Amino acid sequence: MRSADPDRVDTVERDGICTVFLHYPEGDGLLDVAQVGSLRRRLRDALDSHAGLVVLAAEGPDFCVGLAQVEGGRRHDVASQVRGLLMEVRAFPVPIVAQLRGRCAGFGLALALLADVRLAEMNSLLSVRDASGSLPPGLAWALRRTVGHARAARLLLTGAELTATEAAGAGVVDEVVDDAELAVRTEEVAMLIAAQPRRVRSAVRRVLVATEELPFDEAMTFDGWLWTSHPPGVDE
Amino acid sequence: MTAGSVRTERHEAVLSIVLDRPETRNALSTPTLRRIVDLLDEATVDRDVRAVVLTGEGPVFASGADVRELRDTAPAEYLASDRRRAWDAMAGFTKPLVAAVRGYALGGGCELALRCDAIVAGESAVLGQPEVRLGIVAGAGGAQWWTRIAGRYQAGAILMTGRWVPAYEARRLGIVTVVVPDEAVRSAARRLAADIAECAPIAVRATKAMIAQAYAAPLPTALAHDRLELAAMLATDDHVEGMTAFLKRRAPRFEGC
Repeated sequence: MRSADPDRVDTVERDGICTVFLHYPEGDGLLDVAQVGSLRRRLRDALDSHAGLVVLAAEGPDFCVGLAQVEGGRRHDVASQVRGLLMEVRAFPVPIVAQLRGRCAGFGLALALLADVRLAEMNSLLSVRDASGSLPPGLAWALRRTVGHARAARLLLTGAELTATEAAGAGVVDEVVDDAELAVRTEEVAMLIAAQPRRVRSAVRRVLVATEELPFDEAMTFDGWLWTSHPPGVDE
Repeated sequence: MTAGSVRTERHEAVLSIVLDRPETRNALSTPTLRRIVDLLDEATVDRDVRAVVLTGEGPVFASGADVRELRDTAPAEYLASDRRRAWDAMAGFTKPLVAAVRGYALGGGCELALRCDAIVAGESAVLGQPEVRLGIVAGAGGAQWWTRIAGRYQAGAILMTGRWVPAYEARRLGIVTVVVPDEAVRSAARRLAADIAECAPIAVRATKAMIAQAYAAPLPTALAHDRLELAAMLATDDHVEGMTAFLKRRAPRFEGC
C-alpha cells in the first residue's frame, strides 16, 4: 500500500516493514521544514500501524545533501522541527535501516547515523558538509556515537567526504553494495532483523537509549526489568 | 473490585489503586478524587495493607480536573469544594504511596503522582504542569514540589512554560525515583511497595512523617521531631523483634505494633 504525500515523503508498507521515501522534486536533495514535519508524521504513522521495522530511503539520485537554506527569522522554527525529528528518531522503538544512494551529506548523514544499519551503494558519497554551509543539528552527536570522539572530530574538522568504501572503513556505513543490488540487500537485512522476535528488536533500541541516559546501576535496573518482563514464549 | 472509575488489586500487603477510565484519560473528576480518598481511608485502618500503589489504565496515568467543570467554577466554590478537601486528605495519608506512572501525567495527574513517596516512571512517561496554558496554576502541589525538588531555575522554565518533561529528564531532575521499561511499570512499583512492606510498618510510617517534616519545618525542629520518633519506636514490639532477629541472624516477623 503506497500513500502519496504532497510534502514529499512517501511510505510503502509490506510484510510489517515500512519503507519511508524522501522525495526531492527539485532534484536538489535538500530537506526543507515541511518535509521534516512530514517525515515525523510518517514515522509516527509507521508506529501506529505496528510496523516491525522502518527502512529510510530516498527517491532519485541522492539520499539527502542537507537542510535547505533558511533566512535568519525562520531559523529557530526550523531548528525546533529538526530537534523534534532528531529526538523522535533517536527514541524510535523500532529498528531503522538506512538505504543510501548517491550523496548523503550533512543532516542527511546525521539522519543515516541515527538509523541502526546503513547500507550504501558503491558509488555513494558520504560527507559531513551540509549543503546549507552550517554544521547541522545532530551530526556531531550522531557521528561521535558511531565512530568515537577522535574520529568524529577529525571527520568534522577536515570536512571529510568519503567514498562508500572509505565510509565503511571508517565505520560510518555498515555494508557497501553494487547499486543494482542495493534494494535486494536492504530487503535481506530488513528480513533478517524482522525475523528476530519483536520484543528483542524493540528491546535493543530501548536498552541502548537507557544505557545512554542512565548511569550503569540504573541502566542495569532497566535492563533487568526488561528481561523480567519478557520470559521465553511470550511475544506479540 | 470496581466502583465507578477506580478499581483495586491486592498483592499480599500491597494495595493497588487503579484509575480505570482510559476513555476520559483517567480524569480526576471530583467523584474520582473522593473515591481515591475513601480507598486510602480504608487502607489506613486495614492492618494488612502496608503500602499502596497508585496507577492508571491506558496511555494516561491520570489527567487533571474536567476542564469544562473547572472553567465554570467560581473561586469561593473551588475553595469550599470536595475537590480541595480530597487533595488535602491525600496529603494526610500515613502509609507509603508509590506512583506507577505509565504514559502521560499532566496537570492534576502529575500532582497526583507528586503526592506519592516514590514515583516509578515508564521510559515513555511524560510529566508536566501545563496549567499556565489554560489560565490556571498548578495549585494542588505541583508548583511547590517541582520547585523544591528540581530547583528554582529548572522549575521556573518548566512551570512557567507549561512544557512537557519526558521520563529521563524527570529522572535527572530528581522528580522521578526510577525509570523502567513501560511494560514493567506496575511490576516495578509493586516490587518497591513490597520491599517497603517488608520493613517494620510503624517505623515506615514514622519515616514517611520524618520525610514530610524535612519540607515543613526548620532543620533543628525536624531533628528534634526525629529524635522523638526514634524514642517512640523503642516502645514498639516490632523494634524488639527487628533487633532480636538481627542479632540472631534470622528474618524479622513484624506485626505492626
